[in-house]
Parts: sequence; C-alpha cells; structure tokens
Amino acid sequence: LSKILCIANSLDNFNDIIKKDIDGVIIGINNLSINCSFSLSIDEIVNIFPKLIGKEVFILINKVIYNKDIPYLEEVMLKLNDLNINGVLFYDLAVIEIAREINFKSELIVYQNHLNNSIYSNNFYYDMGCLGSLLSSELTLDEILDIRKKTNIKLFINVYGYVPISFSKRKLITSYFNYVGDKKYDNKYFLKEEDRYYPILEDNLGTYVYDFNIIDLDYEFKILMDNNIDYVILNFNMIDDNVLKTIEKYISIRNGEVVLKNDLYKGFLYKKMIYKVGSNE
Amino acid sequence: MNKVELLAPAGSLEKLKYAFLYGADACYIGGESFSLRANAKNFSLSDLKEASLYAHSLNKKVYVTVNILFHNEDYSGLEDYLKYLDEIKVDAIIVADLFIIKLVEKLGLNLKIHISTQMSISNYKAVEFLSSFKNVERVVLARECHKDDIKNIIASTNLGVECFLHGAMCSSLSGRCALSNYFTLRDANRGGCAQVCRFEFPLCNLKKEAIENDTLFTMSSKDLSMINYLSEMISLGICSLKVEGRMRSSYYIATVINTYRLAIDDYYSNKLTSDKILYYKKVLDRCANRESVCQFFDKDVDYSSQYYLGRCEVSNQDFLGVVISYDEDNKMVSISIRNYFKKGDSVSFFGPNIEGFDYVIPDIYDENLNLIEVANHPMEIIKFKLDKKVYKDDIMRIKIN
Repeated sequence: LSKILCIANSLDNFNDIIKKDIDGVIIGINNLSINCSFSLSIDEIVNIFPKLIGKEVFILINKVIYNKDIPYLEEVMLKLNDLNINGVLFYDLAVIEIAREINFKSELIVYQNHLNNSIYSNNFYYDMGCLGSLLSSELTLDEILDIRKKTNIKLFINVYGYVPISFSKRKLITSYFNYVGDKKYDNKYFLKEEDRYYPILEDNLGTYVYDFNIIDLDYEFKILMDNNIDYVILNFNMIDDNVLKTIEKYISIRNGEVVLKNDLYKGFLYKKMIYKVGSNE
Repeated sequence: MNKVELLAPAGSLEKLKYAFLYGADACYIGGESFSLRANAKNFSLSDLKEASLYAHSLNKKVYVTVNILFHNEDYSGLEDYLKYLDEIKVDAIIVADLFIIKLVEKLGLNLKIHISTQMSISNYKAVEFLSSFKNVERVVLARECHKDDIKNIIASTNLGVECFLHGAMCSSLSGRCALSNYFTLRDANRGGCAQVCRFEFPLCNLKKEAIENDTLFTMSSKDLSMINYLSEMISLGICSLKVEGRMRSSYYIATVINTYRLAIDDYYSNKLTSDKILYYKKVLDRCANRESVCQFFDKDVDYSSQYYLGRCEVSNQDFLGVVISYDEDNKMVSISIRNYFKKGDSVSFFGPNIEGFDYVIPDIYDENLNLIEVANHPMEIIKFKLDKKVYKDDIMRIKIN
C-alpha cells in the first residue's frame, strides 16, 4: 500500500489533518521551506512532535540556500537529528553535505520539483545515500511506472494540489506595481492566459507561479498503489476548500474503494511534452 | 596569477571560429542531442571533433553541454556520446543531471565535468558536496548570487567557480522553472524553453478581475552586463567569465567577445580606465537589442531590472560588413555586405589583429569595379579604398561615438 502524506495550509488545518487516518505529515520549517503556506519554527516542531505519535513525520527544506542560511540550516539539522523524524525532503545539495557531516540519522528524500525525471537520477541519489525521492510532476504515468520498476529508491508522488511551476528570486509583483505606479493590495494574484488563471504569489524570498488547476490523481492512486509507489502527497498549499473531504476520499481509495476514470485535472500524467520544434535550422 | 578565462557561446562552427578569432579563451558548444537549446543548429559529431581540434590548435578550450535533465527515453546513445567526447578530447562537459558524474566515472572516461547553472548552486556547502567527485572540476554558479556569496564560495573550495558575465537572463532560477512546460507543453529542461517569462499577461486580482493598466504584467528581466563590474569580478577569483548566447549571431559574438577581451587585457595591464569602460559599455549596448544591467551581483533587484516594454527586440543594423580581403598594393578592401551603407557614412573597423579605427566611406565599387551609389544587398561583395591595413574577418560597423 502507498502511504498518504499531507501538507497542511494552516495550523488549524494541520490539527484537523493529524486526526485523520493518514500515514504522515510533511511540515514546513520557518525560513527554509517554500511552496508551503504553513510552517513552524524548529522549537515548535520539537514541541509538537509528541502529538504525532503513530504518524510519519517529514520536514520540508526546499528553499534556495545561500551562504548566509548555512549556520541556521546546520542548527536545524542538528536539532532534527535529535528527533526521531522519518526524513527530510530537500532541494539544495547543501543538505546532503551537512547530513554527511553530522551523521544525520533520518532519511534524506530528494525533493527537486522539476529535476528528477529518470531512473538514472534516482539511482544516483540512492547511491548518494538518499533513500527516497519525489518524482517530477512533469512525468507521464508510464514514465513513473518505468522508473518504479528499475529503482530501489522510495518514490513520492504529488497526487493532489497546485503544482509549483516556477520560482524567481525577483519580487515580480512588487516590481510590476512599482513600475506602473499602482498600489499592490495583495501578495497573491493570477496570470490570465486564455481562460486559465495561474496563481502567482510573492513573499520575502521571491515569486512563485503555480499551475492553473489542482491536480487530483484519485483514479490513478490505485494504479500507483498497485505499482508499489511508496508515498503519495496531498498538498493543501493555497487550498481551503474540501480539504478533509479530499483526505477522506484518498483514505477510502487506499482502503479499497474504487474510483472510476474521470475528467479531473491530471497535469502531465497523460501528456507528453515536446522540446524540438520546426526544422531545427 | 592565472588570467581569468573568457568563455564564449558558439552555436555553430562559424561562430566558434569568430569567438576564438575575437579573443575567447574557451567556447561552450552543444551537440545535436543531450543539450539545452534543442532548437539551435548545434554541432554534429564531426563538427564537435573539428571544434575540439581547432580549439586545441590555438591552445584554447572547448566545453560541450550535456545539460538536459534526462527522462528515461533520452538515455539511449548517451554512453556512446560520452565516449566519443572523451575520444575527441573535449576539455570538459557541462552537466545538470548529476548521474552523469558517476556514469563518466563508471565508463572510465577522462572527461572533466562542469556543473551547470541549471543546478542553481548558491552556497559553499553544495559546492563542497560536488567537490567530493574527483571528475568535477568547476561549478557554474546561479546568476542570482551576490558578490559576497561568490567570494565566500571561492574562499571555501578548490573547484573552479564560473560566473555569468553577459547576456540574457532567466527570470526564474534556472532549473526551478517549468513555465514553458505548463504554458506551451515545451520542456524547458530538455531544451525547448519557449521563454514564457517574456510573455505579457493580464494580471488579475483575487476575484480574477484584470488589473486595469496600459502596461501588461510580465516576468521578463533585462539582460546581464557586467562590464562596469569586470574588475571586481576578476579580483574575486572567478576562474571563468561566461557570455550567454549560443543562438546569437556571429556579429554579436565577435563584438561582445572582442569588447570583453580588450577590457580584460586592459585590466591585467592596469589600463582599464573609466573612460574605456564607458566606451565598452556603449559598444555592448549597441550590439544587444535589449537593455542590460548588472542584476544580482551587488543588490536585490527591483523593477529597474525588469522589462515592461513588450518584445521590442528590433534587429541590429550596426553590423555593416565583413572584410573578405585586403589588397595592399592598391589599398583596396573587399567587403561582404551585411547592412545598408553609402558613401559618406561614418564607420568603424575592428578585429583581432588591428587597433579599432573610424573611417568615412569613400566611393564604393562593385566586384567589377563599377561605381555604385549604395551598398544594400546583403552578402554581395563591394570594394572601396582604405589606407589602413585590415584582415580577413575583420568587421565594419556603424561608428559608435
């Protein structure tokens, strides 16, 4: 069976989620996590940890790390090493290096949204001591299943949520309003492309763009389970509606309920990308 | 002190030759597979070999991009390709997908590896991790690094550190952008980037109502130009300064590389004065078709680093012609035309073997020495009198004041 992990959108949401029969949670950590509207300080994580008995706990460290972040990152990883968390989901290679230096006990899970697309990169990270990896959301279902057959690494798949599609260090919304001499009323807007609205968010680290629709791989969850995908992630970042209902749906599927093939948004699961156009002249 | 490397892009053999001729120490090139810029002409296997031989004959270097992020289907042929690159003795390969580091080792190849900016390396711990692989020779830092980041990274590693010097910028961090994938179905990380960050969009509020303004929203950033900070970059200990632009024209490559060559040489001979920097900046600005700034090197960027004027990239008409030959006896130059010019126009000549100079076009003749009014047929050959000696492949452009 694949295990269900959830990323909450707020503390209240987190407290509701952990009451559900999910297998674990992914928790953002202040100043080290992005694409994650709910995060805690390391001390808050230490305090909350006893409440999470019976759940697997993963910590998300996926921001771009600059030199100035390293002392804080080291401090956090040392504290996490004393907790019995299941793993750290990481983007930056600095995390692997620090883990080696402090003999980090928990699992390292590669969490590089768009970078991890093949058997070969997964095997590389497995050989580097990373026991798990999040597969890119740009893979087709066939590619995912092919990778599963040919790697030993634990595989994590995003099955629900808004897929982050870009991160810029630039404050693009602020810059725009400063340029046009207008007031920025919010940190969240939408980019309109035909009839699609792509969320664009800005915070103190930069600007994020997300896919226009929520992916919902409910029908495919059964296929993923049948093919030994280890974890699926329900990410409620920016999502307030139907959170508990969605969790219950996935729990039911995990417990055997059959969902028919449907028209919910599936991202790239059945779409192949192109990269050569024209006559290559 | 090792002199900093000037690293040029080359999208074809012709451009590679221009880059070396005009002062590049090394060129980076892409083969027909496994390389970003999938829609550029790129180098065939025999072109790669010729490029490597040509570079080495000049005691220069050539690096080959193997920098896509692989899907399973892309792997076929990779091992043979790496063996071939090893056999033709390219000086390094530039990789983004890290499994290639171990693959090169497993295949027993001597290829050196440079880590692509696609990995957005921005800290010394990540560099420390990469330095544990014996075939990794260099990292190309993220373009978002501040000079203090660069300095601290260099201070903590034995790996070479390469930074971008000039050219187009991505709006997002390289490797953290899939805008092209989601807006156009073209895979950015396999060379299909459609430059969605340069598109314009209506920006809508939370009610999904468009913000009313004459200027549409865009993520587009101005280009990078580090000529004003060149001395500082060199003094940081950067080993290689990279010019972006494998899809740029030969004229662009010649102009940009020639300008930075002069500036770097001026730096090492203590002749890089503020007047010279000002002039070099003018030349670089004229050559590009977008505004350029220094971006993240000394600050967090704001709207002044962004581009809100739409895609007004007009074609550059400064490039007037290329010298085909020079007849010393008759002091007559033959020029292959690139853009319109006429008698009385003020032009400049520049090239790797001459001091640049200005000139006013005298009577113009066709190949049969018939007097003509204007030069206006691209690639046609014309002649005119020229007292100063010039060489094949020197360039004639509009005079820049």
